[in-house]
Amino acid sequence: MSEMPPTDSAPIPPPPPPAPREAGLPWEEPSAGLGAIFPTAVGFVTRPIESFSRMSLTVDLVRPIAYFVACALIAACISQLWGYLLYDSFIGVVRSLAGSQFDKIAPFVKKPGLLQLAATLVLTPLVSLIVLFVWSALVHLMLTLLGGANRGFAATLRVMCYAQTTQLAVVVPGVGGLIAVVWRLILEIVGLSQAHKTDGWKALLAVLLPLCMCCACIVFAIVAFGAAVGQAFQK
Amino acid sequence: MAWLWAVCAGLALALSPLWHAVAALVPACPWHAWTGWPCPGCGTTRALTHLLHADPWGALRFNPLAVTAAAAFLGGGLAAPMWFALGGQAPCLPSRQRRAGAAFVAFGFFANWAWLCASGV
Repeated sequence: MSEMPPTDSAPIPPPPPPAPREAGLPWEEPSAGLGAIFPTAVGFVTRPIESFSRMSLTVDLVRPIAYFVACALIAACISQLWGYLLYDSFIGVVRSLAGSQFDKIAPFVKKPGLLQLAATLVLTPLVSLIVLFVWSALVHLMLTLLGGANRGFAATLRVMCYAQTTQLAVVVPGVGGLIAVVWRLILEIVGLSQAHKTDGWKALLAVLLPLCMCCACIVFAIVAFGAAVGQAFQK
Repeated sequence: MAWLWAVCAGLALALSPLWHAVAALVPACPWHAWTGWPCPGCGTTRALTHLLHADPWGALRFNPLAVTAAAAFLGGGLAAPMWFALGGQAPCLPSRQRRAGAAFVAFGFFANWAWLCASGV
C-alpha cells in the first residue's frame, strides 16, 4: 500500500494582508485633477506636518512642480488685483521704502493694467521655476553639509514646491507678502525635517544659512517694509 | 532632474533682458549704507550684469562667489543632461568628506566677504 501523506499537517497559513497604504496627498493621486489643489493646500495650511509626511518621494516631479506653478500664478493674480485696487496706498509704501531712490523706480511703478497682468501671467511661472531650482539647490547644499540630506535633492525640491502654498497669504492685502515669506520659512523647515527624516535644527539651519549669507539686507528689508506699511496706514 | 536644471539655465539666459531691466530697480544695500561695510551679497547685481554682458573678468571684480555660483549654475545646466546621457552618476558627497566640504564652503564664503570689504565694492 502506498504511503499517504499525513493529513494532520498544519495547513499553510495564508500570507499576511498587505499593510494599508498610507493615503498620499490629494494632488498626488493618479486621477487627481485641478480641483485637488484646494484640498492639498488646505492640508498644508491646517496640518503641515501630516501633509509633508504623506508627501510622496517617488511620484513624478511634474506633479509638485505643477502645484508650485499653480500657486505662483494664483498668488500673482491676487497680488495684481490688490495692486490695482489699493494702488494709492501701495505707492505710499513704496515711497516710504525707497526714500530718495523713489524717483529711480517711479517710472516703473504704474497701476496694473491688462498688459501688465498678461506679462505677469507669462513671466511668473518662468521666473518662479528658476528661483525654485536655485533656492532648492542652495538649501540642499546646506542640508548636505549639515549631514541632514537623507533623501536626495528631489525630496528637497518637492518640499520647496509644496511650501509655495504659503504664497496664497497674499489674499491679505498689504502684509500678505510678508506673512507669506515668514510662513514659507516655517513650512520649509517642517517639510525638510519630515521629508529627509532629519533633525529640526538641521532643517532650520539649512533654510536660514543661505538667507544670512545673502543678507542682512533681507532682515533690513523686512523691518523697513513693516515700518513703511505702518507709516502708509498712518497717513 | 538634469533636464530641469538645463531648462532653468536656458530660461535664465533667455530672460537676460528681464534681468537687465530688474537690475536697474535694485536699491542700494541698506546694510552697506548703515554700517559702511558691504554685506556678503554686495556687488552681486553688478557682477551678474557684467556676466550677462559676457564680461567675466569685470564680473569677478564685484563678487567672485556670485560669479562662480552663476557660472556653475549655467555651465552645470548645459552639462548635466550630457553627463547623464553618457552614463555619468549623480555626484555624492561621502559623509567623511562632509566636514571638509563644509569647511571649504565656509572658507569660500568668508574669503569672498573679505574680498568685498577690501576691494570697497
